[in-house]
Amino acid sequence: MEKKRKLDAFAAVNGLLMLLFAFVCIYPFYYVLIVSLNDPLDAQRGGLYLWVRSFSFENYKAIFKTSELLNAYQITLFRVVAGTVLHVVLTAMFAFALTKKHFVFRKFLTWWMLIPMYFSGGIIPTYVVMDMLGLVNNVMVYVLPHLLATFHILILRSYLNELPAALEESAVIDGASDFSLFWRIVLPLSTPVLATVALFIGVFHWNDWFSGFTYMTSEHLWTAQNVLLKIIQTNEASNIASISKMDSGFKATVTAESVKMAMLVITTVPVIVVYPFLQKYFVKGMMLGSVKG
Amino acid sequence: MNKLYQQKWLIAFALPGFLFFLVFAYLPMYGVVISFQDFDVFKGVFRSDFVGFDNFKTLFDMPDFNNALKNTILISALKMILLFPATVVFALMINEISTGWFRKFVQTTSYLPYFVSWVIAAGIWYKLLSIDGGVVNDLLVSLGILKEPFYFLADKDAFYPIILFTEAWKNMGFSAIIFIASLSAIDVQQYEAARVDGASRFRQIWHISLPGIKNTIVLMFILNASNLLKAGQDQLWTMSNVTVQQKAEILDTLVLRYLKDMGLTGYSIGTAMGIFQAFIGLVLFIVCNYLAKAAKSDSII
Repeated sequence: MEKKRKLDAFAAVNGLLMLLFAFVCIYPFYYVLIVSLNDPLDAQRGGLYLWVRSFSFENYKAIFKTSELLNAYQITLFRVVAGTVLHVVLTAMFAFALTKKHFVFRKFLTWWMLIPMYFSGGIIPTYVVMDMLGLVNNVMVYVLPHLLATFHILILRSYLNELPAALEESAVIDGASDFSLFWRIVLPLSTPVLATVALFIGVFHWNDWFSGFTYMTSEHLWTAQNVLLKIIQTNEASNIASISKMDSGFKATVTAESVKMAMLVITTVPVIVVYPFLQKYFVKGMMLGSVKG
Repeated sequence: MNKLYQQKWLIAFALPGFLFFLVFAYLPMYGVVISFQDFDVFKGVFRSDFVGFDNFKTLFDMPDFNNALKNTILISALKMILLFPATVVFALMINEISTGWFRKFVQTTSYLPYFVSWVIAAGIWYKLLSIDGGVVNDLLVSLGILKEPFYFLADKDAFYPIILFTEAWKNMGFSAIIFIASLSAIDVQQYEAARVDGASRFRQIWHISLPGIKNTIVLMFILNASNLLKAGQDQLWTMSNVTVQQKAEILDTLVLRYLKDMGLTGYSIGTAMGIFQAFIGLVLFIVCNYLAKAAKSDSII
């Protein structure tokens, strides 16, 4: 693109519309943030649009006083860490085996992982299987069914295929087994792509509400997203508000609405912090995803 | 045998993957036989009585099912007809921004909402659209557009517009990436030549940008079409409430309701629903892929 282009009407209108679009995208997040940081009783007066009127951490204090929510965040953290680490290691192992041309089960395993991309049992048969395996009301249901994803194996496989063969060959001549080849050479060399897969699956684990909703009848096994969903769809937040009311001697310090906002913020922040790191990989991933068919 | 021993590490690496797909993908596939059974949990999948296509007959006679099917297609089609072109226009507009940092800023903000869950998105929009203190109502009332706050999320007529708007808010920026990428591959010289010939910005878009990404547009549209029976389970489950349920119920949410509310008695019917959806989805997928391939080879010539 040439550098010097005078600011014509077209560019001005286009720029303005794009600015408006960007505003609509971010403002809702900003709005939730300022309401959560405002004094809850003051917020009830309305008219909070652009900045915090009366700063207060009361909403966040109320959340951290409620053990139910702390517990949900702990479970979320557990599944993000365990789910991501195991997913990345198993994906790398499986993809590594698939790249070895002489591997006897290579062809079979390629089909084995591809078919589930197009066929699946559906919600209820899957539920019945989980029930059979004793995974209903068991925290492992957050981790085990998401240990591998065909799409991530494909990404990693195409990356490994492009690594220079000479590296591995020389290691083999030095007497390295497939085991040490994998841990000492392949794994360290694929850190960038492993990081990408880790970020994608990590965001998935953080955001997933479906597993908790479907497989957990016992609410103390819920993740933060599940608690949030219940709070949004019912008047659950008023319970938290009233708990904190009892704590402070019957004087209302928070409102249901403002506690909701604080919860939204705590549940959103990790993703917003992580996503700039994901950004540079989007395009590649999107391209790969769209040509897979 | 010796060969297998030599490959012991490769086998060991692949074994967890083999078992994973066996248990979490193939076992549920076998489970679809439930839809041909009068499923009894105590007898299990292997010993329940077979009833043939009875469950499917019941299914097609159910008003709930027919309503959900209608809603699914309607919502999905609305999204495709209205949001798909909007995404292309958005990509074209982004492409017209010549200031580097501003372009990056708009792009970065546009896909932020994609990365939060629908639970969060729903929570945010419930607040923004609420009648007591929601920004949208406050603004509309103070500008005199509305006389009194309007209960957006509990209004049947406002529901589809809100679903379309929030869907655009959440996913449009991200879906535009593919078009932006394909726009950036167009040769700059074409634009320069057009400018020398005195073509206006609109003409450049019409005669260079659009034809340049025509193939991508066709391909993406066809691939989208194969998801006609996927209207957005997460969105409709999180954003719906009792007042709008009649309009919000889609096949995915109905199956979920069969699992949660109907419990054991709903398993067979619910599975049959899932199979119906998967079957139509597969047919659409094959047809659309065939069309996509045809479109692709067309583009090579």
